[in-house]
Amino acid sequence: MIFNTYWFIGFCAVFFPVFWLLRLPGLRRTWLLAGCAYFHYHFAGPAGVLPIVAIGIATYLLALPRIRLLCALGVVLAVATLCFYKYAVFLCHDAIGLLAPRLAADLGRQVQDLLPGAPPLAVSFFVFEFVHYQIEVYRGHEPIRRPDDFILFAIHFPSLTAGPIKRYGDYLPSLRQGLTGVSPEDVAAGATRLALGLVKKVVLADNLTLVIDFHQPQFTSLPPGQAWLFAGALSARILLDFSGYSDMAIGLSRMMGIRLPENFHYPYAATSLQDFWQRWHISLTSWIRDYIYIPLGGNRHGLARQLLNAMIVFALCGLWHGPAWNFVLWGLWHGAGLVLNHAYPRLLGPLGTRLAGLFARFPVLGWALTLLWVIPGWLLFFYEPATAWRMAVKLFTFA
Amino acid sequence: MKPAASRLGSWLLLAGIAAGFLLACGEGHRAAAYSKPRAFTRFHQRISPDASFYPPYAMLEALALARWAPGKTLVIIGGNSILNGVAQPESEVWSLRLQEMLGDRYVVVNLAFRGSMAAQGGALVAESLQRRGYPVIFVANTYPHAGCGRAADGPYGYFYWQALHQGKLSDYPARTADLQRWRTARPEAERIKLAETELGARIEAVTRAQSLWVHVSYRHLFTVWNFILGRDFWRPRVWAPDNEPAAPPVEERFRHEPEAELATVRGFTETLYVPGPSGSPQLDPAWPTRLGDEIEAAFVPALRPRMLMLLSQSAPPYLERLTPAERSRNRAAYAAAARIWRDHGINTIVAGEGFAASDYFDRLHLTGEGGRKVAALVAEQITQMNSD
Repeated sequence: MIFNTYWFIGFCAVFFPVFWLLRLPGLRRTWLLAGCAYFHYHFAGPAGVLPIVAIGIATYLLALPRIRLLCALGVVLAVATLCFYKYAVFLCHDAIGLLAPRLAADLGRQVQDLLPGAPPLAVSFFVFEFVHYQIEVYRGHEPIRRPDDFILFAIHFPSLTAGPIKRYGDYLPSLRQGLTGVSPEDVAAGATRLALGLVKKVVLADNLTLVIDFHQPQFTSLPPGQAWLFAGALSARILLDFSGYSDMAIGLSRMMGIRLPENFHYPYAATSLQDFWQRWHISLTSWIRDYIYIPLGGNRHGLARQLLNAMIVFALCGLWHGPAWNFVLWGLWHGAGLVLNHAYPRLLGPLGTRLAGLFARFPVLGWALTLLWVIPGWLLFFYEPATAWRMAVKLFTFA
Repeated sequence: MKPAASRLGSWLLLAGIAAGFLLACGEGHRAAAYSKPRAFTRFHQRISPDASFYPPYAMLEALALARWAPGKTLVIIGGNSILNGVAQPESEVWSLRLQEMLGDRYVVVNLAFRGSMAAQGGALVAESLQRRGYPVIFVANTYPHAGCGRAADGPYGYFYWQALHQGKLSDYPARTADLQRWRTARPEAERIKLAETELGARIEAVTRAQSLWVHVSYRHLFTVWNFILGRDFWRPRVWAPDNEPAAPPVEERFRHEPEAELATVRGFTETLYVPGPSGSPQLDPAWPTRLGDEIEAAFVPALRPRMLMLLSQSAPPYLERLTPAERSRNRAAYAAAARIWRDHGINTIVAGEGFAASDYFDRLHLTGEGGRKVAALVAEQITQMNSD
């Protein structure tokens, strides 16, 4: 994590005081631009910066004339970049390989020769923001005219590493506000949020990671209570880790007077799976809803289509987290949960209606069931499917 | 809340953050000057980086000077786990025996760490104190093939950067140039890590955040989980006593992966041999220059006559299993290494020659009895060095 490095402390110690002292918006904008560029270069290295610069320039230029075909081309280009850097090897080995192993091996070798050692850092976040931008312009919204506005939107340093995924329609007005003047309230609120994020990430999540990594090899021999405690720690860790990042990003932005979208809202307090996804990684969920689920038809074409759309969307959501089957299965697990969540009142007839009434009357039941779905799901998120299965069996058989 | 009240609250919070930061820096500087483990014998495992406890460089100096008084000679011990006294219970640590043997005219301070190299930690303290006029003798250990390492390398490299940026070290161009060359040759990921460590040391010089944190974590509360402390990880480290166990009976020792251990013993010297003109192994002719350059870059010339290097020999049960030719090569490598070290002005002895199996806990570490023998060897050398 870059936010708890000495480099970043040094960066902030120089960046923020100068940002606050500069009173002219133009100068502040230039300073922010320089800071973001320097941060991105340090974070991603030259090899990681170049592809993002290339795809960024293409995105900016293709959207500028507001020609829908060019916007569509921009979307294809961005998605192709993501597929190439992040999913090419997975597609060759794990997808094509299932049908034609020899072809997959040949393709895999060729792809590997073309790919750098690792994909450009945060490429998924860049691509999602670029796709959002192209689609909004495609839908008739005004494109970003000023190149420096676009660059700041693309490489706004607090959200560069792990989001939240921004929307340019919200970001640019907030950016202008921050450039015009930062209030002490913003700085104080931002610093408090940053501190909260650091505590969540460094004190809580990182400690849980140490405990989890130590106990994981002995998971099968843990007593049932400790095994559930382990699963609970795993669930707490991902929330604290990820929401800690988001808090830091939101806090750092706020210290410049710029507001970023919220990303988490007490997700483990959700009383249904649908509720969970309205509280978990909100910027991703809303992105997927707006740019995949609704274009696929959403809930406009009957229950069966709605459920199919949910499965597709969640498989893609899983895949976005990483190029591996366990992520796809994690997405499908949640997709299946949502399908059940939606369909049971109709499928079970009067019993379903009674159950729905019961859940409405006693939200704690829904909360417990939601956790019982979400917690085993994290096993799929973190471990190979076979390992996750063994761990889940142990959890539910109390062996 | 009214806007004016909200603004005032924000200013107060920001002022509190700034004041808190300045206060913490002040406390950090204060802690750096005096904070050290109580009743210190050595950095045992639970107050060492193995257990996520990273003593700052300032603590090493504070420990070195804690018992010193004018007229006494400081004997600073560096090196690795062997000199740290791993396998010796707290009351049997060899440096306590050394203190007893040397008497009141000397102050022995054990600053050795597990896995540390001779050029690290204690070596920097010795250099710094000698530079400031303290009478110092530095004792460390190594093996023929291992050289002395680089001050900035590995998990203890931060001592070097902290000492450097706190202005404790001499301006020594040979070391600076060597480190620069070495650093440039590292893979990029390692260079980034080194830069991060160095930046941390620069920040430490100003804020003393690590000094404050280690002080708090030693006396009040620890926050990083680690398997050595397990569920007691949160307790202040003052609570964690030195619990190094006593060695088991000799017949129960030397059982851990004996073949792998034997291969390591062979490797200690075999790596120094190359095929000679007749095809039989001979000591690598480039080795003396290589090791010599390392020594020259690691230790400032003023410190070298005040240094005692121990070349730690492996335990007899392993040496006895070597072929006669291997044993002879082993002896020759140790003798040659000692010559090289001496050629660069450093007093050197081979520690372990003639020791019994019962003096060893495992392949390298010494029991209390073995430690006593080393202490006797070292005491004799130190007395001689100090009288020269």
